[in-house]
Amino acid sequence: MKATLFVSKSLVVSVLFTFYSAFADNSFTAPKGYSIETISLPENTKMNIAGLDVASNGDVYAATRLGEVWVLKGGADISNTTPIWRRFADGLHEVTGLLVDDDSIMVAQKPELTRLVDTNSDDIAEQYLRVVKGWKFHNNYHEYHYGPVKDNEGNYYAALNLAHGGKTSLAMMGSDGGWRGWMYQVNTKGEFVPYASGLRSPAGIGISPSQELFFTDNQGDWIATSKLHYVEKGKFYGHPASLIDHPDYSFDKVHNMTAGDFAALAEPPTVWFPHREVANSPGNPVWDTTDGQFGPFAGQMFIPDYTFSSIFRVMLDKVNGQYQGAAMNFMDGFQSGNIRIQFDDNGQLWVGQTARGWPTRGNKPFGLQKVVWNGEQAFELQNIKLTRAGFSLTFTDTIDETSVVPDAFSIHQWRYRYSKEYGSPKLDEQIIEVTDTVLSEDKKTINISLPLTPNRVLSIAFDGIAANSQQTPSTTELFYTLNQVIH
Amino acid sequence: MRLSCRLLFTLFLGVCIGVNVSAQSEVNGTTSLSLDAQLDEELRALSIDKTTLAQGKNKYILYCLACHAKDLSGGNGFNLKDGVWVHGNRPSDLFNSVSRGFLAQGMPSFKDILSENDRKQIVAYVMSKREGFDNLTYEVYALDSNDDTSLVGKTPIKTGKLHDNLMDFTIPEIKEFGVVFEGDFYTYNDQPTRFRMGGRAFDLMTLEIDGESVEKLWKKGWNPTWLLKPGKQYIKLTYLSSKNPDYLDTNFLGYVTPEDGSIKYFATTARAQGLMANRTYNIEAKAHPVLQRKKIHKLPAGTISVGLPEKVNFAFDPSKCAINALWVGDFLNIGPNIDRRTGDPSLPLSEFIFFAPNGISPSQGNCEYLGYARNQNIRFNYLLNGIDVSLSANSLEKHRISFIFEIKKLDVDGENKKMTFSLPDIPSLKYLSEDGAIDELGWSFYPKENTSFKLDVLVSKDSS
Ligand code: HEC
Repeated sequence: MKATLFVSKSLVVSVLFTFYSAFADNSFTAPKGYSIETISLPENTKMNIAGLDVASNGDVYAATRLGEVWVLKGGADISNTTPIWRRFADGLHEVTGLLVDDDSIMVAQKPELTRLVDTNSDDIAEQYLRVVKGWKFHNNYHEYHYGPVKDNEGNYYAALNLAHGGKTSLAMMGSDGGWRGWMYQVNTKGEFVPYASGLRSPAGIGISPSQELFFTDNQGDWIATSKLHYVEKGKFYGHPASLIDHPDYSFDKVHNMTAGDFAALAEPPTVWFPHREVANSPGNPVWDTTDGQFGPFAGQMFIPDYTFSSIFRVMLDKVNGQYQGAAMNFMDGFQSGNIRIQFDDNGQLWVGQTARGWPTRGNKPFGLQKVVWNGEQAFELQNIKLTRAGFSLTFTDTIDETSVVPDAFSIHQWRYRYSKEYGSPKLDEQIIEVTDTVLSEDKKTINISLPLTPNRVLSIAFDGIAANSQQTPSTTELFYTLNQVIH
Repeated sequence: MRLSCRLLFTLFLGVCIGVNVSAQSEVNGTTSLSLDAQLDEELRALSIDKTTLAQGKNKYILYCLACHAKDLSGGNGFNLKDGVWVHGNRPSDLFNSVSRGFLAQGMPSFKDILSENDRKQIVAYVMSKREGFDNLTYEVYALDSNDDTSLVGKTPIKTGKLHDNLMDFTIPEIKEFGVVFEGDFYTYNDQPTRFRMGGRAFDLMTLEIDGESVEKLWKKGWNPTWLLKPGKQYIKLTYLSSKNPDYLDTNFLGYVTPEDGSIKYFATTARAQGLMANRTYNIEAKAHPVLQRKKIHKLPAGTISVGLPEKVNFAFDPSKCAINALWVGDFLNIGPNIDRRTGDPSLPLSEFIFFAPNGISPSQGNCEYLGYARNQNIRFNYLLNGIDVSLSANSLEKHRISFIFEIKKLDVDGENKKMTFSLPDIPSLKYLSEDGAIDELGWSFYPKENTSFKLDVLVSKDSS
């Protein structure tokens, strides 16, 4: 018989107010071979890190919500056992994004995208230069500013959070104009280009090694659960408040539209992150570009989560030319709210942390940690791809043949509602039977067959699967966003 | 006796106090209780008398500020505006505290330093600054069920006094409860204030002021809020937990705010007080100027503020290239702006001499802000009508600040366009400039005529 199915009856209210119940159990997950190291911080300052990047010389830059930028000189250099902290900048307005850009540092502070230049190489910025004008900040606490990331052509991308409430709100989050709820580009001429709309609280933006742009957004009004989007210029990603700045719309027009009208315009999320199961407040996506220095997940996407104080993995799957894919927990047990991660050139994954204003599982107010891999091979799910008949799940090591039976899997699916309500319950929740399992010749891949319905999120649990070595995976459940089946 | 006591002040003060106190009660003769009651009445009357308060304030600044802070929030000495009174909360208790002092704890006796009248004025002033509840009591009721919405016919299961005069919503300790808090309440006389409770809108939270029930300012939504009367009033807050969903945290926050709700003046619940206590993060200019780009009370979004070591502070609005605030004294408490979700503005540590929309601002043309440079000094760079300008400030003597406009590059056509800046018309400010003309339109100069133009702003000493 299958493992008993947890059918969520959670009302919107419990979605809102029971963050902690997800943490009732105190155990932590980490794949074999991975461990967390804690970095000591400068004393007597509030190091709520919300911007993080590593320079090619190993200097680790951290920007804080207090408004400072600190650099850990040679922090990513493994031979340097006593790296020192220097305060690079201060007096900024709640920095929630940082990019090391050649010889200068770019920060996204609430009112401005700013370039910090250290003109005399003393590790203290002398120039605080405005990078671009064209958008507005209205002193609303929720008008955060995320990014920037830079593409190979030299364009920058950053994202503007909506305001909390306000006259123009259609539900909870609103915009007082000035391109709130948009991703913008600063092109190579230095011009402000509104790039994509419909963003709510896009706390993480990232650009892949193949130059594709993604952002994560947080559950809330119009957003059923947290999610990842692949971004294309001119498209709309779901939160209507941003449309008041769109040249084809107006305040009145937007306020006369229905949820159905907005739904017709909106792009489907690339990957949903079910609330209280994978992520409640995702940060920035990064790609494992370490060529195996960080283990068997080379090329894959990792994302931190603030509430869970965790890092999870995203496995993208291109189906009919469109991205969709799966999310699953990678590691938790971090000391504070994980909001920024970044790989260095030595295969270490740095984690910038803050806990303030919203609950986090890790109980420290802020911090900096890193994840290191000691080379030990773990038995984990490596990747998942949609097939015509079901899914193909690849593991990092050979699988015990006898464990590969339909009963090793338990699968259920549901969909979400698009509405102005805060979050969505799971709708049309349904148990799905696996009808067949086939193990590949190299014994690393299992093909499962099951009935497929588009526009569903599937929870795929594989508790029964074990390695030949009898190791079992540290995480045995993933969430696949099935926007489309293969045509 | 008096004279010798003064002479020996530093050495034998303690002894003198003892003598004086006993002498006083001898002279007073009759029951001190009725005399105290008389004094209470007299001080209450004085505490709403404008002239007394003005005199009391001046004397408070001279004799008490060092230990109790300008805003009475305390330092070496206790907070004198909150609800905690270690040595008694009656006006006569305050008077006696001032008269006798607490030598062992570090407060001198003022009996021989200040006349009786002076002490009364100061106490009246202190009373007028009182914030929040006094003589606060609670009653807890058990409700029958989640549907029980009335306290009628019930007797409280628990009653008591709240010695810190803060409503404490952890007192009920049962799941379905009713709680009533009531007591005297003090808020400001000189401006409208609001009584705001944090959290979800509760149908079952009601407020009475001076025996009459008051309507909430809005019926729906979060944060039930009521308008307060000015000054002293009697408040009764009733709350019933029934009909609330289980997840609701009933350990509510409560604050008094200005009419626009933009800041929190003081806490009314124990939990809010705990949060308020951690909201001080003062920025101070020591050897060099300091700069903070934060949300600041009353100033427009994006404003950048600068504090000079000479304790002259100003703010710069990059969207208008304007100096949009000036204040003399301590710089800025950014604590409220970096606390929790960061909703509240930073607070300048002394009063603005002028603030936006008032300002020293370019009167015509457009400005494009470029950024600032920080070395020993801070320099704002911008294009004003195409002219590349940099603005810096210094203070070479107390109460004087000089703004220096440097012309880094003239505009392309090189025309000698006049530049004019508005100057706030404030009685306590005087403007001087050898590099330009000052008239009723403001300050103006011709950028082609020099590379640097200086404007001196003199602040009269009583304005700080
Ligand atoms: C040198 C520092 C100092 C000065 C000056 C000073 N105080 Fe105090 N004051 C204290 C200290 C310390 C205490 C706390 C006594 C204790 O620990 O019990 C105190 C306590 C008090 C109290 C009692 C508060 C309570 O909770 O009951 C009052 C009232 C008071 N001061 C008023 C004044 C006034 C009015 C002035 C100016 C006339 C003044 N103080 C000047 C240090 C000072």
